[in-house]
Amino acid sequence: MFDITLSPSNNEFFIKPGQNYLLAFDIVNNSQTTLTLNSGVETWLPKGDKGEISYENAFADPSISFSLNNSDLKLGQTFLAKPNEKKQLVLKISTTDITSQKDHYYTFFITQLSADQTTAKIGAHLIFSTQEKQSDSLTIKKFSVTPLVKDSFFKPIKFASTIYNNSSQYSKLTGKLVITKNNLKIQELIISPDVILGNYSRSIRCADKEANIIPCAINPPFWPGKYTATLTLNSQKPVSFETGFFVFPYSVFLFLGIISAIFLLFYRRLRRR
Amino acid sequence: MTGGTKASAGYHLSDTVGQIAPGEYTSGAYTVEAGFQYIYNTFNKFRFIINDPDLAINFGALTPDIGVTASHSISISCPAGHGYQIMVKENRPLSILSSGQTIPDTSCNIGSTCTPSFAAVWNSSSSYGFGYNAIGTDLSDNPTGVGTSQYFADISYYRPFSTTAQYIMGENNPVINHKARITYKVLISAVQTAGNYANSINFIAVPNY
Repeated sequence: MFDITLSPSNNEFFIKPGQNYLLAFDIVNNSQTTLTLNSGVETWLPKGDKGEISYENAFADPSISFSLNNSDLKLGQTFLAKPNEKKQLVLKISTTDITSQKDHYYTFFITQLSADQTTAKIGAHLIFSTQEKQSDSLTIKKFSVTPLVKDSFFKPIKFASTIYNNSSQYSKLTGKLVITKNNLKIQELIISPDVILGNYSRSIRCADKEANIIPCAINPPFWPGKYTATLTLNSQKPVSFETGFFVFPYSVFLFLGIISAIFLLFYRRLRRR
Repeated sequence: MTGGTKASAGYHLSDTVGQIAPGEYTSGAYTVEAGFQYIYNTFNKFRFIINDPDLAINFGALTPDIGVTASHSISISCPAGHGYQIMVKENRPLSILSSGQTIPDTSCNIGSTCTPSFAAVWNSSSSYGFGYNAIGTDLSDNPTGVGTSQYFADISYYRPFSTTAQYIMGENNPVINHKARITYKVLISAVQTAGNYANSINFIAVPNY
């Protein structure tokens, strides 16, 4: 049985070249088996626009080194995690004066060691910048409203957007999506504060006021008429994009049309008799 | 000694000042987590489970032309995260270490070739090899395809393992206890050398950033 909890799973921070950074990870063995574990760090590259990653063709910066600050354990050294035991590993990230000024992406891994068995490793990400703090510069690359035919009933209206970070430094998306009709606010959705990597794209996700992820959508029924969706991103220069869409009770008219056609058909047949 | 979160119009600061004894301290029913900003991330947990008490799949004695399957489940939780990805790889094909004899990784049915990154139907009794299927399930182990449908259309689809990690499951939203059933399948021909074949399968679970 492998059952490990690792926290915190996502970590973003800044380090000045030549300085070090300490990060504490909690590792809990939730299983009833003593596990033989190991720790390590691997570098990754972003993949896709939803926060996915890939370890292929990712090369580490040789001027950045990793070690454990625990007195009894080194990075890469085997250790045991007893049933229900919680361990804290303190990862030390060391940079030098020649560390290139850019953003770095790594995963801190806890690996289960076992020969000829099913094994597992679980990771937590490190995103850190060795650059001076840069100004946010975001562009809304795509903003779409679906479905094409927006009916007053049945189907929710969904919003999707892809944001591009023009800066070479990661930042967090903040902003809101406001849907209005006749200048009256119908719904306001908060943009989830997801990390957007430097010179990279990310799809937006929406959240409620308690920061729970919810669909970027509004649910029927809708009053017929013209609606406006406005996506606003908070950055050094706030970015905004507005689009309009029209909602009409197509299904009602379709239903009435079918009923009328059936009625007319019967009416004509009755008249012929 | 001070610490906490501070905010102004343009900045948000989390600090621990003057901390000389960081760490976790427990006494009776009380726990103190002192120092390090991880305390603001206590919900930022990532959990991965392989539900197999022995962490070992045993196919037993194989009969030529009769496929054998065995399975276990995996489970993932990232309640406050951005989703997750699960990858899998093998250390080597199923092999007899002493002789190097192998059961090849499957290429699925003839005419519907599968690769390490592309699943295809494998139900022919004349297509030999070793492969696997991953299917998202509900908590009662009924197939739902949640998290796996982009990799495996249904339970008849298989892929061969690879020594490089391949994605088998992923979602882009926070999840709690999302499960998948991993089914391993082996099918040998009559000319397969007798012996004990083994390898190691490695699962890699990472959160989305």
